[in-house]
Amino acid sequence: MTSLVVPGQPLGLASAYIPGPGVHIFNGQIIASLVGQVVTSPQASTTSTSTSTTSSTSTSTSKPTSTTSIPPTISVQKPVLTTDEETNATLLPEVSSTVLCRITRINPRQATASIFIVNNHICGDEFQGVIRVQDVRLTEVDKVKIFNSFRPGDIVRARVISLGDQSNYYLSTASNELGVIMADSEMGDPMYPINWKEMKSSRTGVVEERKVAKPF
Amino acid sequence: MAAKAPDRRRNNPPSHGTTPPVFLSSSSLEAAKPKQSSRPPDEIRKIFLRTGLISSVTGSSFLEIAPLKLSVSVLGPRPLPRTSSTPFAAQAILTTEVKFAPFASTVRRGYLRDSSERDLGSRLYQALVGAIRRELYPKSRIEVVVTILDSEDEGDDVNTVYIEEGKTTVETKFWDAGRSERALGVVLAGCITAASAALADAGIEMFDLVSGGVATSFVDEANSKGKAKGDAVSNKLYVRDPAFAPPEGKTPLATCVLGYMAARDEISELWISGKIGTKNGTTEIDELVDEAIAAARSARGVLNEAAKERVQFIVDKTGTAPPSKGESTDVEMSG
Amino acid sequence: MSILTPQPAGDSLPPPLTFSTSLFRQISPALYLERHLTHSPPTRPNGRSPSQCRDFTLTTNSLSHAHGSAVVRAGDTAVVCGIRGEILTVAPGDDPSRFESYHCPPTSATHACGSRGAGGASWGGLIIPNVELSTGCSKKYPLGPPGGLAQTLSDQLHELVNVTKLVSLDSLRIYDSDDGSGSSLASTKKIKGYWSLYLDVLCISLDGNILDAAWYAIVAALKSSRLPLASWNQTEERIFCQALLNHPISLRQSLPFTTTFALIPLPNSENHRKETAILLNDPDSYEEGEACEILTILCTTEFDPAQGDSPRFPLAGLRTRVEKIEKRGGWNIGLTQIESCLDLATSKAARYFQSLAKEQPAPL
Repeated sequence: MTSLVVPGQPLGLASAYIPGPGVHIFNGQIIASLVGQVVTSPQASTTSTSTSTTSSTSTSTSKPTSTTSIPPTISVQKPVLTTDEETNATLLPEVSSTVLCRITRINPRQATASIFIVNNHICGDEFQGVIRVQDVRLTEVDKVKIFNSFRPGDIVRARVISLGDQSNYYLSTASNELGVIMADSEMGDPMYPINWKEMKSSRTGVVEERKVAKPF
Repeated sequence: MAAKAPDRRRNNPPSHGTTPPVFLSSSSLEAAKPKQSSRPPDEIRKIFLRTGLISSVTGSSFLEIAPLKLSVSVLGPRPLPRTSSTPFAAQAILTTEVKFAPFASTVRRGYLRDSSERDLGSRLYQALVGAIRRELYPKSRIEVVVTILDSEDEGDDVNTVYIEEGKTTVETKFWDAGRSERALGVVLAGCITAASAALADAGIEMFDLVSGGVATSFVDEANSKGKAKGDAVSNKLYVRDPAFAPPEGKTPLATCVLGYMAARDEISELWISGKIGTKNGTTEIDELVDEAIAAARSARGVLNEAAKERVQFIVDKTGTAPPSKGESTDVEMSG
Repeated sequence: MSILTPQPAGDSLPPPLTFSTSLFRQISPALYLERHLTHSPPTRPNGRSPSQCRDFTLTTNSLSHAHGSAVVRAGDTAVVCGIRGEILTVAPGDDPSRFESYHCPPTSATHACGSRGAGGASWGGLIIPNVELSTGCSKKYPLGPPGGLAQTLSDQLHELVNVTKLVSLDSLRIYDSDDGSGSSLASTKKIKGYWSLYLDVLCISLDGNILDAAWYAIVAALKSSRLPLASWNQTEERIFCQALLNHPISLRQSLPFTTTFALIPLPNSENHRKETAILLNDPDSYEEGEACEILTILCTTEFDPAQGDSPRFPLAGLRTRVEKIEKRGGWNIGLTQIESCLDLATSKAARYFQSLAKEQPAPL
């Protein structure tokens, strides 16, 4: 039986731990801010030699070894069902997050996209982002045409470069592994990449231009 | 109800308008006496609180305290509305909405929010906003929506006409000052507790859970009529989580509703209404507030269990604990 | 079935682009559904077979202020319907008969008893159904005034009330004598007013197929409703009620129930020109998002007096008729498919009816 903590519950002295996700510090105490299970890592102090029994998970939180130079990190994790392991409804895009987004509209200056996956986690809502023309690729930036890089409906892997203004996150695809990963041709057939700037329809063989992500 | 302009987005009644039924009672003595509860004054009613019943939102809860039934949804964090008027927000913007169902009270409520619903919404906002770690959710909004399905209020005697000796009177029997505040107070306390449970269920980080508490001070009817001073203080009866009907022979003086963070011993929202003396300094207020805090502490126990419910379910189901789990046994919860 | 790879057919160099199931579900709902439904046997992502509907639960009269109420939960869709009667006083010189007919053809039901002005608003009849979705029931549905879906649903329910003539409107009359129980002398009594019924449906949790749940909640709530006995008071010249709630609303004998199906297109990869499709009973919102057609069948069910089964717990002895078939969008559903749906709809209606019969009527 594992015990769960609730927000507001004190977990230990602030001096004994480094606060991780899901906790905060108040009055010199580490306090849980989520409902979940307490996790400390590393398990016990790495330098401690005497307490090898701490691997049995029960004593480390209340009595961290004082000889440690680096205190363990304490955090509270909310467990999830394996079926929705990859959903995280409270996740928000951050700077340098890798996101998957669907292109919603394009104009010569930028492509607007709807972000729905952040760091391989499905977020609760779709967030709007833009890929400006200067952020599409690394080289020959002045030759980039949005129209030849993205089309509405494409699924794009991109990186958040700025939180942007109140409504848009600024995204970039200026890297080899970033760009279009799934796209349908004008006829509506799925296409597969043939090189870094072209994709080919599997049915008709028509080739269309895209800023293609390098397949892993 | 006179026919106003029809709501273009809904089906409307006939253009004549309709009126709520008016009841006729041959004698006011016959009017149904409100039920007296056998509950001791320092005990709150049984709270039924469940979380995670709505699958398509981030967090949800359902609360039932005797007749009060309400459902809370937490949406978000979600993107800010795309209007140019919305400024960039470094912290999450919390919005709270409280809505009574049309059938939740004695008199049918319309679909448009009325002033008491707006008032409850803003009080709920005050109670919750300080508890949420909003700095973790920049550029987003968190929406708390409360739908009240059933509540305790004046009852049908509002619409009852009494005929005595051939004359009709519209005087109601159980009128007392602040009755609607008392009814709304119980609703607000329920909203606060249920909304905290839903926020915890959503996995939104908080400094502490907020539980709602409500208490009312009563004096003997005789005292209040004779305007007796002095003694009245000592005769006060404090009732936690008061039912709508006052105890036998008592008249309510003041009601206190608060949102309370038990682990930090902080009050996030305080609402006192009614007659409260200042003769003895602030002791009367203090006593009333302490009673409401005690009610909130009792609710906190239920809240803690409900907040854990879904997580516990997942832990039981998957049977997996995260690696290098530490058991914290030295924690002590107040409330 | 944990890894689904959207692979191009044929050609060289298929990119080894793989997603886990839940990511794939987000990225390409159409393909995700198609992979499930072309499986053998076809299984929906929610684990049901195409013809399988969700289990539902019904609770009636759990609210203290409503004259009748029902809570219906089908899977993750949950609705609460509360019914309140209010009084419509007939002004002297008014012709009351206009309140008493459903005479309008179903398509113009909303034009019924009054002027639907240029703005689209209208004054309704005695029965006023409304659906509220702005309750935080789903993150997909915005808060605020009713959007397209809520307005459509309110209108659909209004039309269903009218087309099925669910409530016998003459039972809503309020007469000028103390005895309001509509005796044979009804014609000699003057009608002073009517009960006007507000059917308010609140969606608490939305996961597809709200129409069936809302309609079932309305039927069940109406069936469980008890209005106070109302009569005209000569001296006060107004309508008064008695405190006891003992005046049931009389409904039609055979109760109508709806069953909704969603048609999901399955692009056939071998022969792309020929599209096939599959019908899903009781779709959830994920499936509704990909549906190209929605089919709603209205069946009415009643006890068959010819087969004397116990009316309390009927197992057989039900007579079911199809009363209305409505299909929105597309042209893919063939007659054979509709026929198979009819069977499912009839059995669903029978289950609705049985579950309703088991609910205890409110004590008089």
